[in-house]
Amino acid sequence: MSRPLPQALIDRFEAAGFARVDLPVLQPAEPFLDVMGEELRQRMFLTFDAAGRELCLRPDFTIPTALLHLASSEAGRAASYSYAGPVFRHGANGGEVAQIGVESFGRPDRLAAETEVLGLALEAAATLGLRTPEIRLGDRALVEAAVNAVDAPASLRRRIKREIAFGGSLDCLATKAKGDAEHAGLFAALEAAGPETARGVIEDVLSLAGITTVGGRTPAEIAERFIERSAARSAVVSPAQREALKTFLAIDAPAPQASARIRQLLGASAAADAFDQRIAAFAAAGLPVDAMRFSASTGQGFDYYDGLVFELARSGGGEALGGGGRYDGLLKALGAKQPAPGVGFALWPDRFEETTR
Amino acid sequence: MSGLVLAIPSKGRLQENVQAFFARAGLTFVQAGGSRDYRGAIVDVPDVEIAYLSASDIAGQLASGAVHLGVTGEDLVRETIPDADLRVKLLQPLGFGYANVVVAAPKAWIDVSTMSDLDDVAEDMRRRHGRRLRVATKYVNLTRGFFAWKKPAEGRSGPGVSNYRIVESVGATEGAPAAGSADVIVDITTTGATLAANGLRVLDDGVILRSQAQLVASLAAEWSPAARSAARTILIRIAAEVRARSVREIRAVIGGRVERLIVDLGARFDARAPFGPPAPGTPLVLHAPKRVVFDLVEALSAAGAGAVTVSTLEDVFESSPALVEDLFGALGG
Repeated sequence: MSRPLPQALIDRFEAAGFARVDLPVLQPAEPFLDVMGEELRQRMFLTFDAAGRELCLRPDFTIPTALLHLASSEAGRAASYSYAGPVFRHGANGGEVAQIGVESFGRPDRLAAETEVLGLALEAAATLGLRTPEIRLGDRALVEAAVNAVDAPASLRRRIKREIAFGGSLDCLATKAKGDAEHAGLFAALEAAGPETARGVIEDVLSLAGITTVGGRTPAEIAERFIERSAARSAVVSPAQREALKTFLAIDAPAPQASARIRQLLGASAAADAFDQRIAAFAAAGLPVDAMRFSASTGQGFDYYDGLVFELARSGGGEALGGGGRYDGLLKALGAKQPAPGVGFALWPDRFEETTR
Repeated sequence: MSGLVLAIPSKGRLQENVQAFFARAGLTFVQAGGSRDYRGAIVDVPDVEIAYLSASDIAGQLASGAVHLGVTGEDLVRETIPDADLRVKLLQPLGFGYANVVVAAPKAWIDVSTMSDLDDVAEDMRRRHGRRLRVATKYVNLTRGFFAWKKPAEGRSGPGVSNYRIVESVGATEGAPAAGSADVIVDITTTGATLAANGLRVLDDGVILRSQAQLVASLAAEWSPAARSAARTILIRIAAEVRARSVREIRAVIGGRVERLIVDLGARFDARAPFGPPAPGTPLVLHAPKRVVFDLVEALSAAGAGAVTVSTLEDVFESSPALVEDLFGALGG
């Protein structure tokens, strides 16, 4: 059984302007699977309604809060919310775990929003008994910038990003994709013809063969990627760039010192500037930047985060007791007409128990 | 009853093949009330009840422990039983019911030949159209496992596929891409003809599982002494038949001492002398895998053998067959 949720925190979030929302336990499954991916399915409690619509017990609060925001009269404006209650995932604690947290949508003052949310998370952790947590920082935008700095075709760079996000091996950098010998002549001819001619040729071939949209892709799309693939196949990432990226991904340093190492690899870069400004803003607000550690790998694989990522843990490591970050793409992914910034955090109050004893 | 429950597919070619397989091992099924009865027994092996069930029910009942032994496809075991290796033990592939679970994409996708291409296309779709690649399948768990990114820490490597969604499909999955309800499929195929007829092609690295019918033991069932004893009887007979089918007996008279020759042939051809070195003037008897028979005959000739005979065997009872050891090892005790 979960302990009762700390009312003091709930009140504190409301006082800070994060309106308390009460969300239904039963939620449509589609938005979760669509945003977080099919891998989540095996951890969700799923069921169907009489009409065959797939429903689930909410596996987190962020997506239902975002949906509530989009359906409300506040959609398109800045709004902040807080929540507390159980979420449901197979595994831990019989599948039911308490979560408490906040979400803030639409704030254009990015650094102030991040500072406020991290500050509130630290305050909440202290209320739950953890006064000097280990704070792990990551930044998906920095990783994005590091990969964009690699001299390679766009499709190969996108693959590198997925390898990083899903814990792959970056083998795609070292080994050239194996080309199918049967098409080698065609690839060469198309490359020589140039992209425009090549696309026309492929579209003609497909339409001659009577092939139309099978499996939801047009001949033009197929042709475009066919050419893209042949370009990506002949691309080779230089060993120096390969090493540089690996070194970047291995960065794990106290946040105040991380900047120098990031700049070693990125040089003058907007993403690196944003990182420095963020640390400065944290310090100016009195947040304990000396207790923060930046690691390029923190937060990889959290599907909707796309900028700052943070995790709070007991000092000395161990599992995260809570975490949060920025997800500017989330509202758009859930159907908003315009993208809007988002930032928030959630804590697992039950995981603090050991700490307080 | 506290005996052994053996689950057998209740219809079709699979049932016939299973019956034939057991019959070759000297295990004849009798159905008490004729072919409409869903319970049966084995002639001359006491304490065995045969349950005729659908192949997918068999997988489920093996997992829950409602049956002790069962015959079903490996695809169903892997799909319907989470952590299958902890709950059941695959004892013996049966040599029929072959089928592959594969990933197939439209032939028109000339830019897609590998899973890694599929991952690229899936991301393209999400970026361009804001939707995920739709995969039609009834093999939801196998698909998810195969599409997952392999982490170096897990000792596997290779890209996965992200940005996909499963569209559950219980029948005629191969028609889903043409019908527009999915982009690619994961399905079972024997010859690939149905896939080809629907304009689909198996990806080069798209074979998820090479499946066949398997004799499977439940680790969750209650293994009473009577059940263990019945299982031992059944498995000893099956092991004898399987061994007999996989080897040939080779007889030859060799002059002089043969101990070193036996060791040498064992190492080179996996040949065994089940009765040990022969008395002088009597033939040496060897059992060897059938694919090496001709090489082995040549080696015997080179060692000075005169006439060499090769024959097939009806049953080969070994003193402690691996099949029996496997089951009792897995059950413990």
